[in-house]
Amino acid sequence: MKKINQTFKSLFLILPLFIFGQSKSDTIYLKNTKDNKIYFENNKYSKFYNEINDFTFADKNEICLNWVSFQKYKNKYYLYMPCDKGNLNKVSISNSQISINAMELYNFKIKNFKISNNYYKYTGFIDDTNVKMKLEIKIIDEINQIAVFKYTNYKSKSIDYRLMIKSNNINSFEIIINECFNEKVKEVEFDILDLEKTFREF
Amino acid sequence: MKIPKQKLKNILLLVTVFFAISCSKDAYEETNNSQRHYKQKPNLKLNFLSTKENPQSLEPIFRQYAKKIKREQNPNARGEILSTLEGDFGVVKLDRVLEVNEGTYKTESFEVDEAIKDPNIYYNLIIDKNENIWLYKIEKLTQAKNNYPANSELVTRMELDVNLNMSTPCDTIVYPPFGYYTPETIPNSGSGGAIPGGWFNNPSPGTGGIITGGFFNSGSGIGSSGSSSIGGSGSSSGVVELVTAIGEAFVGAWNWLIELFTGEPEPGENKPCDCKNKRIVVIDDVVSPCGDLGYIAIIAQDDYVDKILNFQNYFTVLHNNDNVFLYENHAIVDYIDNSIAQHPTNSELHNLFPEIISGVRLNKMTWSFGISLINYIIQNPAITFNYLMNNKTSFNNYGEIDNYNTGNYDNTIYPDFNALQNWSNIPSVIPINKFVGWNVRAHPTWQCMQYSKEQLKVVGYQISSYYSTGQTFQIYTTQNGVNTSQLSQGLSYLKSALSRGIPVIVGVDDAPGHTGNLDNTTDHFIVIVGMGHNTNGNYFQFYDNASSNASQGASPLNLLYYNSTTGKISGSSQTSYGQGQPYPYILTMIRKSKLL
Repeated sequence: MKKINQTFKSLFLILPLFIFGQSKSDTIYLKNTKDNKIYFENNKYSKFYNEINDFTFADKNEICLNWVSFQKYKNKYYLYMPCDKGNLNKVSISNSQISINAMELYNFKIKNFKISNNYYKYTGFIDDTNVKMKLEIKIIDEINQIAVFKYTNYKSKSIDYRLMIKSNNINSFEIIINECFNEKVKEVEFDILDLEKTFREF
Repeated sequence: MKIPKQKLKNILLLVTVFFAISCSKDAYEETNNSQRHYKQKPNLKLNFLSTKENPQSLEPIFRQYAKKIKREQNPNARGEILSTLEGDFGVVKLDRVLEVNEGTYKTESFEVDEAIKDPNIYYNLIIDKNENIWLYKIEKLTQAKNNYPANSELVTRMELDVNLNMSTPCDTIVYPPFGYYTPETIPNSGSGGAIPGGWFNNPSPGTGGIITGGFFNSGSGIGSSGSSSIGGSGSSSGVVELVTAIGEAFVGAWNWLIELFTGEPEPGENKPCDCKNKRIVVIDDVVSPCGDLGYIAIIAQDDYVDKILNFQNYFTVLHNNDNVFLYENHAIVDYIDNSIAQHPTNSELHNLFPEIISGVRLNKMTWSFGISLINYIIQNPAITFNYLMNNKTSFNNYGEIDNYNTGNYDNTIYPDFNALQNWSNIPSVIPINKFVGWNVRAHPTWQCMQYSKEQLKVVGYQISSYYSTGQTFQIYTTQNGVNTSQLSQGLSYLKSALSRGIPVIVGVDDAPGHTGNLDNTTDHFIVIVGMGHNTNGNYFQFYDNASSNASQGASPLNLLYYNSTTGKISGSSQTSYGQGQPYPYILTMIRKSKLL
């Protein structure tokens, strides 16, 4: 029986190629040098979708709502796989805490939350500190589950806005991939959005 | 005209010979095991691009065929050696490798670029764990052939011996491609029925051993191997990883299926075909062209199996090379099996299982949590899994996730540092040969903070958490400018740390906006390794992981100057990244180091 299993293994290694194979000649490059390739990925079975949707840092004992950073390039929505993975922003929200993963992972313990229609508000403290945070989410596209996140850090008195998409909807969008190999490179410059205004208006 | 008898005899002989030669059999129809060498030799030649990344994988070929290999510098590949192996089997080009490392089974698979391309055929070369070298031919059947439906793939395996001769093709496998479950009747079988699954061959040890390797094709599907020059190695390795991952996932699922349905008979059962669940029939020896065991057909008996087959769809989105969870944890299989048996196939449970398996396998949830989720759905049948995943409900569990390591802080008491009077010269506390620079191929998931952490680690230190009390000096933000109190404390700490030989991770701002760091300013992390004074002023020297090249990343010109008027600490990096940013690095935060 083991032999059959091993046969299956070899067999299954082949099959997806025929189904999911994509010619690289179809790829549109924004940049294509030996050390840096920037291109559009529309193969929904690309490893990059899995990489973007990897929330292994999140709370394993709760159902989490997972979000990833989202971008607009030439007025069209894209996911982005940056050269420096720290520029990929991921947020995982459980009932007890919010995990924010960028260059570092922070946990934001939820003390209060309010959910109504397309608006979510969470307040709490970062890790075990007395640093108070507030995260407000406004869904701006219900079908694609695109939202604007507003972070308020009471310690640094700073406010920050982020465009995000729920992770289970990412396959509807192409990824702009910025592949770098031997050096960190400049990230892609996306459309500048007035997220504060968007947040206010929704 | 009368044809002489002898002439007619010759013509008939020629015609007979012609037909005898032209009617060669397809590979999978070859049944004569005593015929040792494959007569239909593809026109193939082997060219190995020996890259720095996989020299060992080619060693079995170099060892076995040392006298037959010609080597030359490949002008198109930086510093690579092009090794050519010409055999009587023709022309093959190999330039990529897939390694399947499964415990004691380590198999290398090479993509083959045939000289004469057939859009429905491609080749892979496999070196198995015993260093046997096999050539695999994968052919897409464009129309139904014998019992095999159109679009099936036919795999033929031929072993290359030490003289580069090819063995009789054997161990062919035909399987309807994923997504093509064409119902078909099996001839000559005892049970008959629809075939939603596929056809498999059990390779016979007597005819070539066990298949432990895999295949890959980096191009646009079948027949395109070797044509993917555009896109480079990054994307093709992506395909390889994808295929490996899917293969890993599928083999787990199928192992599970096989175990589930065809495992050893339970006590009281008569024979293997008395399958555990009696929902499937397994037939041996349907066709046996090459080996003793021949093919096995899996015949679904009800929609239960269809539902299980649907798992395949789910596995296509899984990734990474974890051991397949299904196969390793029979508790899950049993639980799911029992649960499915007790609930109708339209139950939400059937949507839930693959999600949970995936979640547990990808380390997104614990198995106990998955079980509680199943129970919750059973108790609340009106709630769908999708609803649970997208809304907050009373379903809640608990738990914490891993955090920064706390404690072990550097509690050294150090004097205040007057930056205007007591600036010191401290050469780099990390030798240049310990510089840690950007290397995505070695560390595909790392980002600048991780490189910085690694830079500390190589000399025995680690970073403290951003919000650990007294461990971070946030000296500058774009929103609030320089914080003079934090600056003063930070400078004192830097001097103290460096004088004790301790490198320090700092954040820098190098462009408008930020990446999501909590100070809303930092774009990049680097490591302060020294300090000094030159004609331009007082500076801190840093190692910048943005380059793999130590001459840039660890350049003595990587200096951040302290401006006593503005309080800003800023300067240029010699890396290409640093040179290309909108403005020079501005030091934002200083993170205290602590012993590992």
